[in-house]
Amino acid sequence: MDKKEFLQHVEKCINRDALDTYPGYEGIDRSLSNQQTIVSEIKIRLQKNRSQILDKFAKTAAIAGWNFFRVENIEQAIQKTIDLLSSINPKEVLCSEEEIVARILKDKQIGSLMNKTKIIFSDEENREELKLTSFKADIGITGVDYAIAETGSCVILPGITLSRLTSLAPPHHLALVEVDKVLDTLDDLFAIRKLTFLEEEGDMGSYMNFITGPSRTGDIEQTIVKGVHGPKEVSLLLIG
Amino acid sequence: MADIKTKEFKSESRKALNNPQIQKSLVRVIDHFGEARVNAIEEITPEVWEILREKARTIKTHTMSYLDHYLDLMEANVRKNGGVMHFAKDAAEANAIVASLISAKNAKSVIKSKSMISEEMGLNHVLEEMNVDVAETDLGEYIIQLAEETPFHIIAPAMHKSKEEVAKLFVEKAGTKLYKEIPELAEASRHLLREKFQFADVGITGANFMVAETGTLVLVTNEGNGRMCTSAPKMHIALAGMEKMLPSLEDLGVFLRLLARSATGQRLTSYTTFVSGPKREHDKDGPEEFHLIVVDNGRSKMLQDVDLREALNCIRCGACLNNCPIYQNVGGHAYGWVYSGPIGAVVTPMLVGLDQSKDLPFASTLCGRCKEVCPVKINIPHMLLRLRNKSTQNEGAGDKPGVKERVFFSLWFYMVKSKFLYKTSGRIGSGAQKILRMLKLENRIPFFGRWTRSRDLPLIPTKSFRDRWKDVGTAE
Ligand code: SF4
Repeated sequence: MDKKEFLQHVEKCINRDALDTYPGYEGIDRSLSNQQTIVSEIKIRLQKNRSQILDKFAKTAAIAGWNFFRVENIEQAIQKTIDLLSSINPKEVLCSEEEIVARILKDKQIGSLMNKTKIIFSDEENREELKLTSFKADIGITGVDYAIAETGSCVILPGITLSRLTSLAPPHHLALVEVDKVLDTLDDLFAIRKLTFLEEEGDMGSYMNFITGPSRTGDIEQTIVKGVHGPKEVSLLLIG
Repeated sequence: MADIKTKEFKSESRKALNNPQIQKSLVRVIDHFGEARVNAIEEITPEVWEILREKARTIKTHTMSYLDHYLDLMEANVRKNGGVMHFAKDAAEANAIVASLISAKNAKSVIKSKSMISEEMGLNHVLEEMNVDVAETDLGEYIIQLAEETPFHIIAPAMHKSKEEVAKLFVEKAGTKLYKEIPELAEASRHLLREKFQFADVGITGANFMVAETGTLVLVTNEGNGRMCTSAPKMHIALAGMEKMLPSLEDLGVFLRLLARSATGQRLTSYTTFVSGPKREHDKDGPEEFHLIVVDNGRSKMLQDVDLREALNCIRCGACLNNCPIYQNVGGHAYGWVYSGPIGAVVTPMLVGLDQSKDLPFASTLCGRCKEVCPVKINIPHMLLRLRNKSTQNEGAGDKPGVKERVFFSLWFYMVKSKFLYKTSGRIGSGAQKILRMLKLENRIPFFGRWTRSRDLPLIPTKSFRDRWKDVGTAE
């Protein structure tokens, strides 16, 4: 059916009064400058309540099923990453290309300590190779764009520096989260994303994912099993 | 369309009631989901919960009143994002669109993540006839695909199967060895589907929400298969009932909080995936083509009927199923089609025709639990009554009342109009009931046999209301 015919039929079925015209919708009609005000207020609130928000995030992330670790600086983050990798003993590690990932995974200490481990950055491969590597790698390491304290979620925006599969196909995912990425609520996230949408003139990128713990299923006898199609184990390193 | 077996509600219910495996599963699932939901609401506090429900209802009512506008906006934004939005008036049209997209790509293998609308369409059969290899990737859906059944529950499609039954299915249909434990079975499905994820040409998904403002599709999943279907293949085809619409991005704050808590008791499911068109030029991966097919398939009939329109607000959380005394006993297959439980009893007659499914609106005690638990406050009992009314008025070609019923009500009408007849028949009735009770035959009243087989007729008092009124001293 073509669009016009379909919409006319829908309109006919709704059967609005002749005087009942579309009243507009605040959430859609808001101007860029109003959205900027909203987001700057959010940022002030986040700044002010940072430590409570981080404490809340530590709790909700653990409830969601993340192996949650908190470190104070990059040095400690490198150490913790080495510990983690040693415990998994992976043959192949697939890394995305965000700055935080490079700072930790390209550190000399990791290279020298993990000599049996191949560390691959996603920019080293073309699309097809990257897909195969994603399905073969033992762990995927990524940064995150945001995190949400309300739900214990990491938010990723796959695109130029991050592939969709790095945090999905390997059996283990390590998310590196800097403290300033942590938002308080779902509403904070949507407000910020909406601002991007307005600033980018209607394009906020092709893909976004909230990751709230490991992949799981309860489809057989309501027994929860981790790691059906996505990672069984998910670890989160909160840095700062 | 998927096979419709809605006429067999009564016989299928009887079968389910006598099936110990189904009864056992129903108790388990109802306890599990029921408790999880209650705890999740406690955690967010009942006050906040009520505010969210009210907001959700307001947003959905508004959206349905201007659905044409939002569909138009959605289409413009999907196009802007580089995707294509198609409009299908029914299942056949939607199937044809999918088929033509797949043929044009010369695709041989398809991976699917759970989509109720594709169940409505019977899409898997269409694809199989085209010799396309199609794999359901949600574990529950995969199990019922192997078993060639329809979903037993909106969010737990294979909840009626024991692990032993699943293990046997895997051996017979997927050629695995015989597993004993649930984690082994889940692991087996991971391996069985991995290769398909890697090499499938097309991913087909449903949609939990569409956001008109940004042309975004939202998928809510726990296993990761939804992410796989939207990441690995070169083409993504999404199917959505036209009612899945929300106006703006920020509305999701309300609906995501309601959906996971009502469905599984989680704050959020493991994955919430937002798709806004195909991959952009410099993206590392993702489908190069994105098609969204918006389907009517009878929904406009609901839109048309002001009493039934709110059924379109449903976010398919399954809470009304888990809390319904009928569903709790007969389970999902008795309802004979894709949707079950209280909301199924409303939606199915509207989508497949009331004449095909006249028992469904009567499959309710009208206790009102469904309305109480519904996260978008849908007044399901009201709609069931409306459908019962339609059915007896013969709108939509339901059954006319039978001869016995009509004769009974004509006589009743005649009787209540006459003071004398009313009084006398009351006395006779009460006397006759006493005698029948003495003979232990009170449940064998002619014409009422089917009614009294499972219920006792209320006692007719010896003293009529009029007599008691006189005794009180306020005479007529
Ligand atoms: S009718 Fe309400 S409770 Fe039932 S599935 Fe739909 S949203 Fe959930």
